[in-house]
Amino acid sequence: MSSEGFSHAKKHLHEMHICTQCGYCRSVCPTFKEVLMEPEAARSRVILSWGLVQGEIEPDQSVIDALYHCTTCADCNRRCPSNVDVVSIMESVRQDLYEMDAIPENHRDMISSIEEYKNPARQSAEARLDFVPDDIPDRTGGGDVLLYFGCGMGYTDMKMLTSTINSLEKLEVDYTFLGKDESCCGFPELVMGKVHGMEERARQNLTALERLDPKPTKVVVTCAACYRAWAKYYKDMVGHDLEVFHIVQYYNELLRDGKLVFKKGLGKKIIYHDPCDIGRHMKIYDEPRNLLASIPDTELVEFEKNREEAACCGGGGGLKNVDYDLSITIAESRVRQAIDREAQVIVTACPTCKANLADAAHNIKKKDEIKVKVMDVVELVNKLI
Amino acid sequence: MTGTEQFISEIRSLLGADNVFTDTAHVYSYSFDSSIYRGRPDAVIRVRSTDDVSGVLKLANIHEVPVIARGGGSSLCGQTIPVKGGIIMDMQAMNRIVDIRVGDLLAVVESGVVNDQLNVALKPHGFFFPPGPSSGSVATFGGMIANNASGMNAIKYGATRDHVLGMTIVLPTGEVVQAGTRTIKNSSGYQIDRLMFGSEGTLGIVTQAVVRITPLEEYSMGALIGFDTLEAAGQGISNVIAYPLIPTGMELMDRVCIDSVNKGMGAGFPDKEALIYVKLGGFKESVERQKIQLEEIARSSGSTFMEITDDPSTIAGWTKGRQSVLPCLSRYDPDMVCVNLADDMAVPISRLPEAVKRFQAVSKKHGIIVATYGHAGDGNLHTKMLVNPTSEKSWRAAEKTTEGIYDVVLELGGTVTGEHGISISKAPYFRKERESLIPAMVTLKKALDPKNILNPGKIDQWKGGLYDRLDILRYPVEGSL
Repeated sequence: MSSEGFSHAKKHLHEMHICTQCGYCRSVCPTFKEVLMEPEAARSRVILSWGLVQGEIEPDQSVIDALYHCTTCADCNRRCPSNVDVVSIMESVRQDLYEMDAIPENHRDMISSIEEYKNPARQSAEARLDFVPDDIPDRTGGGDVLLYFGCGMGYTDMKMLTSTINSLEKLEVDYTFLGKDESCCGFPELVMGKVHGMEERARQNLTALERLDPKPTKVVVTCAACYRAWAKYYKDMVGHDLEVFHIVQYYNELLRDGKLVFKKGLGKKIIYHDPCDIGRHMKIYDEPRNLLASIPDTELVEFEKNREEAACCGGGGGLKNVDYDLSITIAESRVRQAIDREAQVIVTACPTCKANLADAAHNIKKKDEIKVKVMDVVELVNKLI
Repeated sequence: MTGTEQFISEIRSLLGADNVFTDTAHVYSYSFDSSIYRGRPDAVIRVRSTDDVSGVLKLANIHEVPVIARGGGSSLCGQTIPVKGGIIMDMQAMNRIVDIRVGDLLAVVESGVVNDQLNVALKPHGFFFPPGPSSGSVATFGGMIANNASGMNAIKYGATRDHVLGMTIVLPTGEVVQAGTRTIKNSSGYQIDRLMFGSEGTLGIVTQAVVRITPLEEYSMGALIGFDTLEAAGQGISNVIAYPLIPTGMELMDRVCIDSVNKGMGAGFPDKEALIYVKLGGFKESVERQKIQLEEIARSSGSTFMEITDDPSTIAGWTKGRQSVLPCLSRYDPDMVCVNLADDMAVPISRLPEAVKRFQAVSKKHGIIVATYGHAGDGNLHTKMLVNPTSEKSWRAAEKTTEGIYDVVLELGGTVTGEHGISISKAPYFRKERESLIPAMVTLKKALDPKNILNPGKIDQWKGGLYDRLDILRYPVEGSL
């Protein structure tokens, strides 16, 4: 067997040797906790990557499935006492697999959609504006703040998009958006292994932003993955000097400055789910909690596993696209943890987390007749200011 | 069709195709555990009940195919590595806590239940399962019984063997037996259940266990005591026991361990040649008295640092730091990794100071960095070595170091394993230590497992050295592949 073609993963060879296969990662790995078989555990993904690099195994379908089931939630990185960066190993080995055309079939469709349509939903560029409320002024001409829609909110979650826009209108923010010139952030391409695809999306989006007049100095995103793309990867890959905010950070600044004031409360017990991409990956923990804690007549409670220990919703890393059932099973576990804390509303800050948790909550309602609502923070803010 | 293929085909009929795996991802990932070894199974199967296990073993006897039971796969000596092919039988789907009866001081668990899973369930009742292996978030009861696992609390509470009342065992022929009882006490009759402790899956498969549970300690304190030499720390430990003061746990860490956990996870341990981490527990009045005694012993033993606290988060941080020594050691040197060689031994407590001093001399002689730590309060030490994983020279030096360390252990009247087991990596030294016992072990194994299907090639059946053939190592030693 040949190890040729695993040049990216090979860079992590010593890291793979450092992994003692102690298995501590199994106690937090979201796929392992549901399946309870080794190929679904973080440590096994390390050893499978090692086997590929050493040329001991071929990337057949079973190996591809195991490596593409990782949600890249990074809870294993946190738990690993040797600080092995499993997520970086996954990103590299997937890059190799992509370059060898050894990726899951479902991912091929998504990649071609992004190449062709600049979004993973096979939607036209114009359709990105379909959910924009008719009654707002034209915002495509430039402004201080770029509201980057992202594909989750832009194409599939009308509630999130209208809530975001309406909230920014109410808060009198000088914002703009790219409209039909917006491209996918490229994060889906990164997790599928097409790293240069993300770099291409970075250039497309930054070029579109350059064309705006006045040119924004700040970028606000509502998706956790988009935030990571703009705040980390775009800076590393292309470079920019924009100030990037996840909307929980931006709202929080407005709250601090007295510009965002909650006029009413929800009268319910809410719980905040940390999206992995802004939580463990980008360490944004305090801002959403500060924001939600300031809502009157609303009790904010915590998951038993929260902040850096927060469990994944199962929607990340492309898992939902390759194994929907497993992805939703993981989400159901997370929703049940919220039910254990007697929360009535799960609030999150990412359209992917929201969609996954909402599907899971729907299943639980059907199975057990227990009702828990799932909302994004933008919906909550827009409703209460 | 070979015998093994026929066997796998029949297993598919027995368990259903979705519980039998022969694909690359399963076969390859089950070729490793937390040891230095590797070995590919022919297939991986998932069992869900005692009946499943019984059916599998009956078929394995007919086809004479090796069966290796596997729980969390956290074994350090190669226990779950198939050295003669065969199938890995994954027990993790048998993960139900069947019963908790605090009034009877017991819980009933399936063998795939993880140690921490039971403790989470027991906590609201004010109880726990005390042996506490460091790998408690991974280790399952089946594996803990098969290896007689223990951890930091063993000095006060003992090992797994001391907390199991009874069990369901599937014998190698597939016969199901109930051994032990559901009572705190029982007397005569052959205690077949006791044979399972340390059997490493060679004499039977435990599918369910009745475990004795213990009330949680009301109040705890933790103490870090620093010394300027490792030998002085060893003497300090011996002095604590001789005082007499029996703490809940008493751990030793040498300079290499302290540096590695400080570097690997920012444990923040003080900069000393050696540290003793003591856990005191019980009723508050008793613990406060123990604290005064401990301070007195530390002073008279020449300690140069001492911090005692009852702050739970500080104690949890120290515990986590100590538990992370093993994996963090790989961060000590950028070219080296930590390997499980001479990783576990026990010596009479009074011989600790001499043991740790002589280990250092062995380390120096062979030029291998050796980290010494462990549950020294009960005489159980762990030494880990740092090797260049791709260098045969480094592995051979480590082999010599291992031999030297175990020679010291045996000279001091110790044993080559306190809690990690024998399997492959201790087998050469176990043969030396218990030469007179081997024939009786062979007779017993033949009586219970006439076809030698359960985990063959381990303990007394491992005839080789540590790694006569380098290709049994999981690391790509130059020239071995």
